[in-house]
Amino acid sequence: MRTLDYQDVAQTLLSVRTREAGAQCASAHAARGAQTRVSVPHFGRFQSLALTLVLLASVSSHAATLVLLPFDNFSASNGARGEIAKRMETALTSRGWTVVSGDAIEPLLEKERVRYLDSLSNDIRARILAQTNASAIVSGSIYTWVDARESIVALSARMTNADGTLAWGDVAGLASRDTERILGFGRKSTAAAIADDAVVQLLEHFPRASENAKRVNGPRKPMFRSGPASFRDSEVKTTTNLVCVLPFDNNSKIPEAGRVVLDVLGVRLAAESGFDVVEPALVRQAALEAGIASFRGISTDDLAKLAEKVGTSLFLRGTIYDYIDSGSPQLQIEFSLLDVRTQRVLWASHHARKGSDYVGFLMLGAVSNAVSLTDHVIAEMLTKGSK
Amino acid sequence: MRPPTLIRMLGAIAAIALVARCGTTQQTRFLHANADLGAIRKVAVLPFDNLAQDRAAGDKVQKIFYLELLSLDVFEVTEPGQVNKIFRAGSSTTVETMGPAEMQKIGKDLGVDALFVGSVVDFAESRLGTTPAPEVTIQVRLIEAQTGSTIWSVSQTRSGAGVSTRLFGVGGESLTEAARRVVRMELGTLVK
Repeated sequence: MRTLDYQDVAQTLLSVRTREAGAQCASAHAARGAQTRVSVPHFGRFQSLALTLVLLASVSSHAATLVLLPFDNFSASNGARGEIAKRMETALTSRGWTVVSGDAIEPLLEKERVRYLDSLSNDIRARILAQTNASAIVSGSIYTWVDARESIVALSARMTNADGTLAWGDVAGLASRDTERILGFGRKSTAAAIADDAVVQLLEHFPRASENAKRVNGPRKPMFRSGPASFRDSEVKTTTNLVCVLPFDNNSKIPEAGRVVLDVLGVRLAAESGFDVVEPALVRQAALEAGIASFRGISTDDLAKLAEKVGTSLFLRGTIYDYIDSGSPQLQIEFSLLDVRTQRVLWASHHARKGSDYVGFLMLGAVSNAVSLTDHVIAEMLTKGSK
Repeated sequence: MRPPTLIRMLGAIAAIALVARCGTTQQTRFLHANADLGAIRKVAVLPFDNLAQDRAAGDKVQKIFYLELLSLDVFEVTEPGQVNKIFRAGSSTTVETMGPAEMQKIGKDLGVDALFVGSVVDFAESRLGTTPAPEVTIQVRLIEAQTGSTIWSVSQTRSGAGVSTRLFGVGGESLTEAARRVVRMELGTLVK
């Protein structure tokens, strides 16, 4: 049996590099009708070792590049997107990543005619990653950017691997009152100042360039409070279930509530053991191909059609009854996990909470904004369901 | 001999707790004399009628009822999408106005032994000072698909705040929690 040593690795890496160079050369010479020949030189042991280290360093720097897409902006502030992008780029760079964003990525998105920024289809993702030499894509949404006496900033972000799997995702929401310390000191009043803290909170578990990414679970339930009403069938397998999360029916008065719940649920469900979530771009593409115009009250027959295209028979759908962001936040949602193959509901949950439900010792701990409350509520529903 | 101070204090607290009007529940129940509940294996939950001011109350309570029914693990419950499909394809008649013949047809189409139908009569939250006091009344019927007749029916009301909420201002029950308790108590009369 032949053992590969660093000399082999160096030769292999060099041949790959020269093939790429040769291909570029060949295409350049093709116009002139010239024939390009690339010869691979032979190296001594120490030269090979040095070359291996150089090439491996160049490969690892390739792996440490990521694409930062412009965030979807659901807030009323037009400047929020730029403010968050600036902070995200700085924070990611400080973690050792080379970030491709802004003007470097806009022409590519334009060329690919990307309409939805929350998730990219497989082929567009592959092309963008290839053109930017990046290994992952970070996308996100800004839900709230309120610059007032009680300023609020709420956002979420996710990192998607080249193969379309979720590598990392998290949610952050902060209000002025969350930044207060003892006796009211340290309170931040402007949205820009709160955004600094919100981005730090959002990226708390984001991997450094040299680390492996981990999915992040949501917050735990408050003490002395009953959990959500929940049912989970014993037939839900312990192995990984691929789940297609459908847009929720939104009965609240806030149009973006559906998107908040969908994003938070997608990120947190993927972090639960035993679940993987279908990329939203794939769901949109499948619905288009199946001729499904709306997911509201979608029939089981339509879901069966969709199942063939998304590659799973498990669909999670639900309803938002209350979503109140002004004053004390409130949320009431229900969801059910349906297996269209057997036409059975495998998991169902219903939960309602107010921000004040989380008040604990010394009247502290109330949840200040609807996005954070959504995160709490969904985490409780998932935790109860996974027991 | 006089009882120790601690015992007297505990006695006083217990007396206050009894005097304080706690959250009340009222129930009315009917079970057909010839009902064979053991023969019912597969059921469906039809959309609940809503008589409350909250426009979504019927849907909310139906979802809670469906969830609690699944949790009992006694019946095989039809997936709600199939029920919706039948209602969308049929006329726009509300469940409350349907006669036995229509119930029989729905039961046959869904392939079930019985149908749960319900009405949300009250679903509102009042306040006693700063504490929430939910008012919930839910009526539910079980209709035999073969005959279209009602074999079980229950109506339950839950109103007011609990003792601990009144005395100490903590642990107030939300509307959803109150509805869940009502549904559980109602189903408790059907399945022991």
